[in-house]
Amino acid sequence: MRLLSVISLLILVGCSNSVEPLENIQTTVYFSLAETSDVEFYLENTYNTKVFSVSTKLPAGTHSIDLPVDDLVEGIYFYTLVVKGVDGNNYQITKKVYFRNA
Amino acid sequence: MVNSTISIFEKELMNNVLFDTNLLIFKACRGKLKFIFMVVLLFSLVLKSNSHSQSNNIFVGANIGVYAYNSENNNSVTEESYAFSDLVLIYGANIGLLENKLLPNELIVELQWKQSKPFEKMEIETTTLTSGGKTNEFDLSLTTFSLNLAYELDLGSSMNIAVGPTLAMFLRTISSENTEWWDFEDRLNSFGLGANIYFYIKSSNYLIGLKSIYTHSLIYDNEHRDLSNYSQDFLSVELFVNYCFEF
Repeated sequence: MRLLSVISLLILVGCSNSVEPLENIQTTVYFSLAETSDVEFYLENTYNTKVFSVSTKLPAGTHSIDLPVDDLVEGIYFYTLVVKGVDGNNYQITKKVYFRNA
Repeated sequence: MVNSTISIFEKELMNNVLFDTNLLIFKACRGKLKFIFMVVLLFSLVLKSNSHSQSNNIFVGANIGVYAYNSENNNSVTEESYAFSDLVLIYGANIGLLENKLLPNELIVELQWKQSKPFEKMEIETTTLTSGGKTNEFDLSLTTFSLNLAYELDLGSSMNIAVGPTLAMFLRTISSENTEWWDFEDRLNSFGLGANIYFYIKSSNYLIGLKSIYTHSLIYDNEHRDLSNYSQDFLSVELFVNYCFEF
């Protein structure tokens, strides 16, 4: 059992890929609201995991969200903005983003 | 209206938590691994106690098929990319042994490589402060190396049926090559266990049939990535054609 585990870990480490943590990068997402709205914003990696999310009520105007990329590694991410309109419907936009070190 | 911008500021590196996380995952999987290993061991011991006198064969061949179930299809972000939203073609090669001498029935011991390629590429338009929007294309692919053991069942049918365990290693790769800016590769390695079933016909020189393999990944080389809501389960259905060398 121990041998099997050691062998599998050695294989995994031997084939490991060096995905580097992000450093010296700041990313800000800007968006505008026509009226006061409930807003949900989240960032997902390609492994179906939300790595950052925030929900808040915001007034009309331009707003920005600083993404905490210092906790992430290089790679592809998807950010989604969900706005609850005054008509009760949710309006959603998703964008792909690629973070890499300079 | 959503826009993103990137600028630079000083920030510390995050700590490396790779080994701690792997150990935690390994501890969680220890019970399952122990059970499956005991089943494989018992399987081997039972088979070794019998023998009969037919010839053995080494076989080499190719396989082609699809993932009948692919957990990436449940992954909202990869589904959104359309990279894994449909049945994915898989192809590969295998080499193995058809053991007839030691056991009452045939035992298949097979090493297999298989590769999947999506039909569509993931496109990302990147915007930075220093340059305008550019579109990069990314491939999302799965490579599998597996050891398949299958023992023939006594069912009295004209087609041989064999079942057994599978040990597999997966390389899930997102890559971008020959772009104007840079090459990129994000590869997740994992190790899994599962089961297989073979339906096959053996002639003097050929071993032809259909096999289905289910695997579940247990250990991930997460390398800083957050995999807290991620798992891998694959069910493949493959047609194989092998040429046999008798010895």
